[in-house]
Amino acid sequence: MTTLNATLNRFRISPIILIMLALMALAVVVALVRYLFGIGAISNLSDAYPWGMWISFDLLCGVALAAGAFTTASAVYIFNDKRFTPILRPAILTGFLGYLMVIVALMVDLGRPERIWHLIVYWNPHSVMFEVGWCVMLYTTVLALEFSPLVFERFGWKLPLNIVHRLTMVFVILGTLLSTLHQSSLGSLFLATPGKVSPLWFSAFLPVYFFLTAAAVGPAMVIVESFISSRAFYRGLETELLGTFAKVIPPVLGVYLLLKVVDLTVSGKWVYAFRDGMSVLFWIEIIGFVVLPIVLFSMPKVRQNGQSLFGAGLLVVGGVVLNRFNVSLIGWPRPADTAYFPSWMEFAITFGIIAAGVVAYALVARFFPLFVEDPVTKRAHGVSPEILRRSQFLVFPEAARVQAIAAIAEEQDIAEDQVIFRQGDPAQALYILLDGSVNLYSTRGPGATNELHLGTIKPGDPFGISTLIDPFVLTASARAATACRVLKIDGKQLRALGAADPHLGQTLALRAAQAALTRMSWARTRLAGAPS
Amino acid sequence: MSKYGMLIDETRCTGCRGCQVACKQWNDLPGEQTRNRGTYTNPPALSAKTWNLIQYTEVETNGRAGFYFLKHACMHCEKPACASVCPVGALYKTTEGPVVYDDTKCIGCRYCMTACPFSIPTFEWGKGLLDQALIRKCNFCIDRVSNGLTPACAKTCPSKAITFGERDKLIAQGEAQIRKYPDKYVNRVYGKDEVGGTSILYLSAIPFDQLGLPRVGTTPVTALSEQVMEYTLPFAGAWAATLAGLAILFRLRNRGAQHAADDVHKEKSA
Repeated sequence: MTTLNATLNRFRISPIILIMLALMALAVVVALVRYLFGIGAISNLSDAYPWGMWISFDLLCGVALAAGAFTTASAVYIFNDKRFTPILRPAILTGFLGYLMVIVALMVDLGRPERIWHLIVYWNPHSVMFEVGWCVMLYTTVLALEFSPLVFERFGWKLPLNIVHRLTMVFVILGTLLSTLHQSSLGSLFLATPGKVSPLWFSAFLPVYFFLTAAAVGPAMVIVESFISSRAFYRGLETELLGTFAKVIPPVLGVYLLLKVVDLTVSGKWVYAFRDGMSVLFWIEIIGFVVLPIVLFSMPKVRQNGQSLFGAGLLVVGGVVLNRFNVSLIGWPRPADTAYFPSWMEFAITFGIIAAGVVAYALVARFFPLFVEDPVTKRAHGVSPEILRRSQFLVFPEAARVQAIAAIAEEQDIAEDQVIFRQGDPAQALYILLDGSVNLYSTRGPGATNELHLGTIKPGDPFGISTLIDPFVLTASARAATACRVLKIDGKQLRALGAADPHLGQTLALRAAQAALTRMSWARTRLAGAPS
Repeated sequence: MSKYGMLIDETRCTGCRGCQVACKQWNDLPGEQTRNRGTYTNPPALSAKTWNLIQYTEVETNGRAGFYFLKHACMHCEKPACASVCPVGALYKTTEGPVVYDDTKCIGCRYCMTACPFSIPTFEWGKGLLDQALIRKCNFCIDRVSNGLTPACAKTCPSKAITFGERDKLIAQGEAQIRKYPDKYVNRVYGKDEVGGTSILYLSAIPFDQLGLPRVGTTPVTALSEQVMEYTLPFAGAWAATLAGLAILFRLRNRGAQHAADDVHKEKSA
């Protein structure tokens, strides 16, 4: 077990990634069964239920939840609001991966996946599915191009990077156009099934509804995804930025709600809203997932707090998922004696694809410049105040003090064996270990044999505390025992904060002194046990 | 309007299933293992192996139990939803009337099954990549019809419940039959106007929905979706222009704001 842990640590593979890999492997096996023995062998789909969970969730929800890419891109480039630039790349990546996931799901769900290219050569312009197919192909290409700068930057390919940069505007307009067409056409798919879609959902406005809900869930997905990635990668959460972005959700959902109410009134369909199980689903969708998010996102209190943003964002996401199932699957008239619930293998395919998306996101976040600096101020954005809670050293009851420190902190990745600072050097920064392990040692001369191990820093512990103690000279060296992630707080700025806010300064100095005492006792123990 | 059709007088049907078997024989379809479900309808539903099925209904009329039959197969719509929604145009309406399937084009998306107002197309669920799964449904024995023969089901029917002929004449014939025996029939030829008209026409003694034929309007179900598709390209052009216009507008506005800010700054420093 220890060796496994060590191996996982070495490659920075968390148990979560391990679970994801297992889910992917299971999906591959199930897909193999499907390719050998047919869709019937792994699914509960039938002639009575030609479309099931894969269409309702993997396709319809998958595309809707990828809407963060076009909403963010149009905010930054069409509405020219450069404040949103820091969240653009993650949003594009989520959209790109979302579309790739849709394609993978289609390769399982399509009866003849090996003929997918027929969409390019055989045309039927009357078919909404024809439009859907072309939108998937074209928009995935545009997303790949919008994502490509990360690859070009990573490998330093200047020429293609320049070309793509120059064409950014074209890609964004094309992407927004294709997204509009695609999101709405998924609604239009069901214009061809007037007697089947439940009357509360069937409407000539289905394409408009699908587009509006996608436009609302785009920012919501960006919020949800930023929140999760800020936790997963110990990254700052751009709470203020996301709060601003969230302002677009209430008006969009408001227009949707208004249109829906007018539509149901004009077509005289309110009777269906008080009738059966579908009526209950309708009210859950409208009250819980449309009205409630409108109210929540309208409240500044909610928009200013990362967790509230996340919660309200999840509501919008949940609403879109429920809506797509209500339109495309639930409440359709079916022959007697038939029923459908996805088989475990259908779930295995869906979960496997989601897992692949998560792993791909993590890999891109690790190896490509996904989280970039704010181009306006040209400096790191500070970190999320939330991260400071990971260390007792930086806990203050007053939010303002925490924010002040968070603003001057930055996160750093440190490779295994890298020396972080050396004994005797001026103490330029205070460090908090977030992840991994760091060794403190004292040197009596050059060479490893002359190193005296003083102690090991655990996640949450500070080091480089001399930064807070006059004369600000380091009394030990620090080396990363494993690959680790640290919070680095600039010493000069921190001392300036302390000078401006004496209570803060005093508290930090006191905590530094306490930590120093603890370290001294380590040293004493070492000396007592050390061979002379 | 299509040339051929079939008029099915369900009052003449004896439920012998001769057409069901003839269909299997001509189209070389295998049998299906089934179990007793307490009904004569067997197999329970249309499938990739059964393109034509006699459905049995017991209905009480005037205090007497009646046994009624429906020859259930593709209706060969005049404006077929399956053909309208097929992204690759694998399904299409022939000039002779039958709605047929080009199995070399199909990608297996099953939109035809979803869209068909009569839920006719079926899929080969048990076939993997090597077996090449396809959509299956009645093809009006297009191979027979185009060679001057009548469809297998019509040919075999011993009670002459199925009349093959030109659709217009069949409608006239059906309506004449209703006029002749108004007490015997529901006063309507099902399929004359349903979803824009179908090549298969029904006469029945009991309401068609009791027989198992769905209530569908007289407009083709794909009227709305086809209309939306027609607007799509013009909309796309207008939307692209709008987006480009917005982009230019916001760029100019920001630049204006920047200039104004610069001016204020200059005034202050001056």
